[in-house]
Amino acid sequence: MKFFLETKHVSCPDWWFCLWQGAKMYMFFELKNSITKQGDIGVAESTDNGATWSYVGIALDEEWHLSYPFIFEYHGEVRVPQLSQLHKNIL
Amino acid sequence: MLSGPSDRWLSFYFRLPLIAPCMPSVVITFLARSLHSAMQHLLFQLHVQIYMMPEGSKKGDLRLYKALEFPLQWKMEKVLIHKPLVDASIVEYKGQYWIFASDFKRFGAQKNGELEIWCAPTPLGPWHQHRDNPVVNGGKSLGARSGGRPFVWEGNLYRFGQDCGDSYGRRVRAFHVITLTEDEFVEVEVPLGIEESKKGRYAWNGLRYHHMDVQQLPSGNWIALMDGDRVPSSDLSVKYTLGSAALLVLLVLNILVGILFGCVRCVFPSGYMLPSKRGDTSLPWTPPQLLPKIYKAAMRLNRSSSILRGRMRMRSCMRFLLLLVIFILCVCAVCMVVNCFFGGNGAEEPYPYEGQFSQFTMIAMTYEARLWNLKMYIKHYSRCASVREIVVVWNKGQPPDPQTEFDSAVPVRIRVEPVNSLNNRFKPDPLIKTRAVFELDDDIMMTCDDVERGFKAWRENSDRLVGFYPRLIDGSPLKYRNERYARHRKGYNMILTGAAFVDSEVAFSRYWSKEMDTGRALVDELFNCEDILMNFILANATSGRAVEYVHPAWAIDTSKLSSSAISRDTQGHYNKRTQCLLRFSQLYGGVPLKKWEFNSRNDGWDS
Repeated sequence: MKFFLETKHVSCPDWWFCLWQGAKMYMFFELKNSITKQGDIGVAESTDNGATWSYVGIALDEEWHLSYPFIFEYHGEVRVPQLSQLHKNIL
Repeated sequence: MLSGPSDRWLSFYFRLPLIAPCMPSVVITFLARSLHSAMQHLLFQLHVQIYMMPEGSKKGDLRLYKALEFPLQWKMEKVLIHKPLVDASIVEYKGQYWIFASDFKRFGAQKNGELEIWCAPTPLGPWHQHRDNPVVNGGKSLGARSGGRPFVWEGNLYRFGQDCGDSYGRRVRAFHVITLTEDEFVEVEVPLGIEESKKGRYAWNGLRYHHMDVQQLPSGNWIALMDGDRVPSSDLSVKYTLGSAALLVLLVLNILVGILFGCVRCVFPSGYMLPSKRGDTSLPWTPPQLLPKIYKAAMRLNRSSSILRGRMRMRSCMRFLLLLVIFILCVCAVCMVVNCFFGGNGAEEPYPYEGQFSQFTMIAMTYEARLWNLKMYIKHYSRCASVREIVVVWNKGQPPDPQTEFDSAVPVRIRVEPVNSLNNRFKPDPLIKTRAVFELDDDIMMTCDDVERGFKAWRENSDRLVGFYPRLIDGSPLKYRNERYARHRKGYNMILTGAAFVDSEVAFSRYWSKEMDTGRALVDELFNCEDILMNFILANATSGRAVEYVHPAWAIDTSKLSSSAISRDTQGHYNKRTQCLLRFSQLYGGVPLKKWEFNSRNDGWDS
């Protein structure tokens, strides 16, 4: 993909996962740092449902190799705060 | 806390009033006083959180990260499973969360052939193993290893697996999980529904595709993203190894030449020759008895090279021969090094225009006597990356069977014409699925890279005729001359349609319009000049530029080798075309062709 050229120090994009946020589509992927040969997680975004992409940056860089950035949303439990907690807040 | 992903926050902010009426009225009254801080609290409870669960098996566990500021800031939330799981994929199914992953460190696990399942009430855990783990453990082509996001469609759970048979990540396989409980797991393979390209490394996913992410869009439609690769997974290391080996050979050959011709001598410091009496001058890491041996070997080499040199002097022809052989070997080694380190992946890739790739249809016009040509043509061009379909305009004789006669990577359609006419090549055809059409004579062989460059140039200006054979029509009276003349005059005003990209919708319908009846009749009368007519039509239709040239790196015209081409008799052919020019200029009131200079493109493709 074209935008990888802009980042210069990366090559070989591999595993990726996508996520929609509003009208934007984000792609997280494994980037191999060509100096350290270690995988980091990079991000690209698209505003046209994936037809064109632009590179955003590195999302996650650990001291060990990262790949397969499985990304997901979790809605959690809908909990109405307890009265006592609210009371504390208000006070 | 609220500085998180704004879009998601917003949607929940507006949904809040729906929840508020359920709360005790006293709370609502108090909320009015301290709405802000209470809302913050409430929003935090409802917030949709984005998580990332990357593979970091080198660390020995599976970790979950939480988005602090999407998409670039993440924080480690917790370690989900204390095992080096690879390619872990989460899916919610029947009220539970499931992880499909592989642990190749597990005792007895087959590399790329193991699958295990973990289960939890929420993605945050606690995670526990499936009773039958590993649920799959076998050959690497089984598709056990995860290959993307599992998904639920119409209540059924599907998952992707990687077939690592020939190479890592050879292809994606899809499975329908029929039974999934904490102690049962049954899956069957279902067709992926994606046809593999036969173009090999010329196709973007020709050799490998190992990952799919299928998701439902907010609109309800589904979208799938798939990866692809033109080279096997070990390609890079093989190339580096070969390149390094060639570099080593180059080095050895050079030293050899140096030794043979006396420029290099093996010098061994005399201090190291023998250990001194105290034994402290010898190198600490070398056994003392080895040093004299090395010294002797070096001496022997020096002696034998000087003997060889002595012989060489006597036989200078032998010397010359040896030098020649070494020189050729060196050249080969240099080529190999350059190819391995800088040669790319060996594929002739398509060129994106505004970040996009596209496809075109090829049209070849031929007849019975040129079938052998056509076979070679289809075999070669069908592999070019952007070719979608090849349409053979069959003008005369028994048509071949496209299923059995050709070795093609794309569909081949034979369009049998009732009349043998050169006008047929521009006939509007509703079955052509692309706007771009590449008219290419069946006797021209050129590289896929040249074709792809032409295609990019056409996409930049799709109203033009973009081709590889320029001509300059001028003089009084008009005269048809060859490319050398155009080169000499540093410009061209016509592109031959024997190898040219054209818009199938606009240009074809213009060519076959009522007004062009006389022109087409003339083409039939002379059995020539259909390309000149097309140039006249396109130039007449625009006040701007109608033609563009792209220089092919190399193109072979096999008509020079065969006897069945109409342009074989060059002089007769040129005379006929001069005649055409005169007739067309009478018909359409002069010559509309405008002259354009070579070398006008920034990328130098039209030099």
